[in-house]
Amino acid sequence: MRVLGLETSSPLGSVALLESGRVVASAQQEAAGSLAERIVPLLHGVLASAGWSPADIERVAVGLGPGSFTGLRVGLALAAGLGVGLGVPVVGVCSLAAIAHSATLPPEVLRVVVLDARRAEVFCGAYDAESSTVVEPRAVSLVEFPRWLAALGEPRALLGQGASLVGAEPGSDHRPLPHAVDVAAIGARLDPAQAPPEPRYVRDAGATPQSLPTAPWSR
Amino acid sequence: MLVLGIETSCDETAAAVVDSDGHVLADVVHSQVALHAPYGGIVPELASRDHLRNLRPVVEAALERASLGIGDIGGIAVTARPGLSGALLVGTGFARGLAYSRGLPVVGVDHLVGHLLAAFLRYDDVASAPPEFPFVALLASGGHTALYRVDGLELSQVQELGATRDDAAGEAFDKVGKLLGLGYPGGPVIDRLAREGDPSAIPLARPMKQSRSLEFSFSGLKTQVMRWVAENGAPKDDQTLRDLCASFQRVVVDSLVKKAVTAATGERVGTLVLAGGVAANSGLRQHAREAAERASLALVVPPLRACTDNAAMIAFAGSTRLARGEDDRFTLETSPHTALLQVTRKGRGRR
Repeated sequence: MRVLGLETSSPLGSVALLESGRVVASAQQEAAGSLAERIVPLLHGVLASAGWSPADIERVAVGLGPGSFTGLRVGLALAAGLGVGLGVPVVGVCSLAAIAHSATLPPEVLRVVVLDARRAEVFCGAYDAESSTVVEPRAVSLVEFPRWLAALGEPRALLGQGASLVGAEPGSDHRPLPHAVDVAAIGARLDPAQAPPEPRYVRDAGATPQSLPTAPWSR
Repeated sequence: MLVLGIETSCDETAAAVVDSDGHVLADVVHSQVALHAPYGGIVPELASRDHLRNLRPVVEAALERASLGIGDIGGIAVTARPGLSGALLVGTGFARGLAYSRGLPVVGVDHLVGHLLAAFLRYDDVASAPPEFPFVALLASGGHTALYRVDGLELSQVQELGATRDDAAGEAFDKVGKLLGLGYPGGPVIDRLAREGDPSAIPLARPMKQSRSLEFSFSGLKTQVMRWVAENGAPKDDQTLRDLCASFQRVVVDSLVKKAVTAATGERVGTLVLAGGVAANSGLRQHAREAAERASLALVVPPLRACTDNAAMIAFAGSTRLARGEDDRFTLETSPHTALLQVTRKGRGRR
């Protein structure tokens, strides 16, 4: 199966093409601010280098975050448009699972992925050797993190660019930010019915309903 | 050419299919009003999330209602500006993906130009006569209030004559609605209450009454209502509330209509066009009709669904460039600001 992977939840946007689990072409782009404008040219370049046309894509796999809200919109909106245009399934892949997928570790080791979430918090989640979710991703404050981590089983390894924020040495044996190559690889084996492209914002929208008193005459 | 329009600039997720003559084949709008109501206004992050959730089903519903497949579409027009940044990214991102995957051209449309050209849309179930160029248009909505001279279908043929210095007209309705405990959005409720009120019951001064300027100002009017409530207390009975709504609405409508007619006569055009969500206001419609007749102007008021945010107007506004073979596929950019030249600088007072 020919899979297009898209990952835009971090400052490193990426696009990858996989065929039967093999990476055919990939490209990445830093600077998240301009990614919305650059993602289609990036995709176009990758398809051209692989000698594919858009119609060759049989599935779109997209990173769901957690990560930048803006980044998620860029990737998920593009994926939805591609899905309608190509008439192929769009599957969502947890972006932290993509990092777990990139690691080479013994199978029994729990992959604990940590990303900087700003505001003195980290996005974290735990995954097994198959990149399946063991602990759902969430935002945890730096203060709470040790307690959250202690509740997880051993042996475990801390992965991801945020590991240094919680006092761990991020190993060099994995990709510290999510990449489309891993998103595509995981997405290739998911059941589309079980993996809808629903973003994992993890945080709420930061709005509080107003407690407007009802005017006595409007009752 | 059949054009698919996509609109996600504010709080409506919309998709439509329109042909080159402005004939609307399908027009689907998913409103977020209920989502934002508890917050007393639009929450941008919630708006963006809701657009992302609903855009795909809305586009699919539009194609289905027109009994078309994506293969029948010749080009895509999407709102690229002005609007909420995150919300615009959803529509343009989707449009980019759809266009690229089908090898279709896609053009970015200025939302305000869409509103100004909405009078050209033709629906199967409503008889309508499109305006003739040149015309003056009053665009009044929750986010914008301005007068334009429109000489043609292109962005370069639209000229702003004056805009609000502070609040948009719809914003003034919303703020007064909130102040009177009528909920959000305030416009429809105030309009309904005003119908049974006496517009001369409560004296409110018309903003910029002495000025011949084509600029508007509504924030002082809102303050007048606030002061009236502070001095007299909240309306004690239903009739006082209706009178207050009627008095407030009369002043807003007066200001809008007087300046619109002044602009149309000043520009020596024969036609005045209403656009934007506030054009749904029954007081504005009636007052504009009377004033246009007195000034011997032809008045064009598009059907309600063409006035409020929709994607059909975006599709039609984009169709001119698409027909010329233009394509923003690799260059589409979004902006919170309009591309139209603005003569009024918001918040700067008298020039």
